[in-house]
Amino acid sequence: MVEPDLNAQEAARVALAADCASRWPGLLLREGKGEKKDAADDFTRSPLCEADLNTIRVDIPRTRGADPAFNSPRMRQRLETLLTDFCVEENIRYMQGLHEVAAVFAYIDDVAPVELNGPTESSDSASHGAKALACFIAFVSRFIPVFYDGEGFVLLHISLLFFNQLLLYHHPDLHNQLEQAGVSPVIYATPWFITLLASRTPLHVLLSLWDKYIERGDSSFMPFLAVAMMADEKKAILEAEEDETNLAVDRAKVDSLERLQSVWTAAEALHAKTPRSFVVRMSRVLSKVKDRCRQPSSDRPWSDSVLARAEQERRLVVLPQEVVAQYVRMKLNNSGAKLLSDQEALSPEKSNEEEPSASSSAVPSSSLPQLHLLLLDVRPLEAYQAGHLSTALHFCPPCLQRLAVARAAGGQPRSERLAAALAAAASSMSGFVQSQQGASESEHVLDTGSAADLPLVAEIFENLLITAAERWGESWKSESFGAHLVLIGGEADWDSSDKPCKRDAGAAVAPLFDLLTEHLLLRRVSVLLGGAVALKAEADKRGVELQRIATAGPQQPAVVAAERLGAL
Amino acid sequence: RDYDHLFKLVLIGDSGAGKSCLLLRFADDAFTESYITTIGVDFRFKTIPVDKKTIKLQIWDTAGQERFRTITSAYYRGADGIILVYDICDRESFAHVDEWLNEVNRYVNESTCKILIGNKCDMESERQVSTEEAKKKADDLGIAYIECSAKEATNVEQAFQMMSAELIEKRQKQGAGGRSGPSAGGGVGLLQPKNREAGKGSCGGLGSCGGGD
Repeated sequence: MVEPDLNAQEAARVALAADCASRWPGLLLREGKGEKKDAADDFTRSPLCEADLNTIRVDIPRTRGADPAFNSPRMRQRLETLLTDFCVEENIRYMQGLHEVAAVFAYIDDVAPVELNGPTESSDSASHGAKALACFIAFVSRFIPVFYDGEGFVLLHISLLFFNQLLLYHHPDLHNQLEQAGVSPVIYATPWFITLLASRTPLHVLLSLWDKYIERGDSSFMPFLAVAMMADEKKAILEAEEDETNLAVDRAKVDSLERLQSVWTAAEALHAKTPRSFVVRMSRVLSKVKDRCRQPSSDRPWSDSVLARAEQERRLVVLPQEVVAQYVRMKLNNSGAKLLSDQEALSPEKSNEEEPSASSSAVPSSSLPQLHLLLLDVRPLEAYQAGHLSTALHFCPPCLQRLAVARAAGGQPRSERLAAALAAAASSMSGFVQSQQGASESEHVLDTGSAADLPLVAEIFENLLITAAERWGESWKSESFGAHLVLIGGEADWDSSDKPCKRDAGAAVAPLFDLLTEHLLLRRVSVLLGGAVALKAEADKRGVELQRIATAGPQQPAVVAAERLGAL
Repeated sequence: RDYDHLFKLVLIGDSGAGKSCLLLRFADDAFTESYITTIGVDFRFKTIPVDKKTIKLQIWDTAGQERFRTITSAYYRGADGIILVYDICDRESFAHVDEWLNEVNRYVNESTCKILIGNKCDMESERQVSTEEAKKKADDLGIAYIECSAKEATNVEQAFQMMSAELIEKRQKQGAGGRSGPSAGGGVGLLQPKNREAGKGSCGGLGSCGGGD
């Protein structure tokens, strides 16, 4: 490369850094956003242990080592100070990856001290770096909770789990193929989530990326970026040999400004096409776990149980609040009637920006994405008749009940995949179902013993097509319609709204979900958290009336019948 | 396919021991003093001829910091060989060899090939661990030992050759019926290794950990 080009690139990078430096403190250090520390913290604060100091020293020359800007002793000193101060200030141990994050703040402080610190402080060596440190801390504490994890990487695993749910939701084919190749998110996405993409992203691209991220101010946006990055490489990943899948995934990155633009746009589009519940739930879970991690008493058994439970949750979950809010909106649109709705229940962070009580109106907030939620109620008929949202479609044919029983009894592993027999059926569906991943995939998974299920699966599928088309019209599965299918289970599926749905006898949600996402590669399938019971509670709270259908014949009232339903 | 055998190798050892540099030397025949810190894991492929056979190596380069051990375990799945690296100029990294082996033995088959590498043997003046001591240690552990320099390309190729030859022999002993090429498939959860703690050392027949036993 020619010398002037390099200079021009460096100049552009410095200009970008200066721009960031002038705005980030305002965005990151806003009054009230910073967490207040207890005075007691001062007593518990301890210096870094020798092992951590050594690791920091090893990592510093390896921080963007190929970049001349990071080779000066001054820069290395800055980095060391930032890292050690961070750990002492936040009272956490050093974790590799933090150095990649610190590098950005060290760089900004180095090339744009005046923009960052203001003109008055620039020459004061005592306070030098204080602003960079404050921004660094604020950034990490808001956007990268992983560093506040104890030793167990609970926060990382939970972040990855939500990311994986999102991947399954929007790209089931990609998700399934990765799972089959044994390439789990912890293998490829760990550095993305630990460093918020700082690792291996060119600095000028990273500055631009973080600038957008900070401006957006949404700590739960990362999974959307990650899914968009994967989608960008989707073709190559799907076409890779099984033993090279991890290499193909490794090529998913944001390595140029053009790519950043396309990935960012795609991530925003995904965000708009995802139930708000996803973000709400992830934020809540992460902040809860983060608080727990920071308590000194938190111990391994606790994190193990959290993780063991989290492991069960591969299904993207929709909260009853969102289903009811969408229902209300639809009713409003249709009739203009006034119904109560509470948007606050669905705002991801409690201190949600200064929206001057927009939620006082009865209408669902306009920020709630308008989604075509198709509700599929899989409870036994009597329970459905006893009360359901008028838009919910009942789907519980005998073949599904048989599958529910078979899956519960056999405890069949979910990794079973579609056989060639189904490929034709699936590919005949346009849009909503993704094109089948070639017969090659099915060949070597056919020996898993799932073959016996196949006629059953096909039967359920046909049933669903007929039932759904009658109610929603043929277009429900088209990509342009963009439907989101929400499965609503009953008492057989849920103990309490907190637990992942069960696989006991009669539980239809889990097997149906697997069937739709694994065999049919249906996009945008989710599960209603807590099932019909939670939905009823929410509907009652909002004054939304459930529909009842009187059962034919001289039977007891439907409610009583519903109560008696346990097993099928 | 264009190879006779596919092996998955995993590089482990303390942070800064030079795992990534060894891999960079082996895969690209290059070296840099300031190579990036591995966060999580990196992979490289290289196809090499060994004993008239074409061997494809899939090499996983893991993070060395102790904190990462809980997730590093996810990387051992289906490993055919483990390359344990320490820095001959850093006694601490040598002292951790036992810990690393204990850790790795929780997740892989006891019979998985292992090799101990003393890296940075170009820096004789700063040596803290003698060849004899390391050799004895390796003998006690029943694994092969070799000293390398990623910087000067000493013995790097040989180390991988050595491991590959051993793996080929092992696989051939297991008979023609043995599968080649890892199929690390199966329902992979984030916590896979943890769940396997109960069945210590068992590969559960999932991968090709030495081709199954």
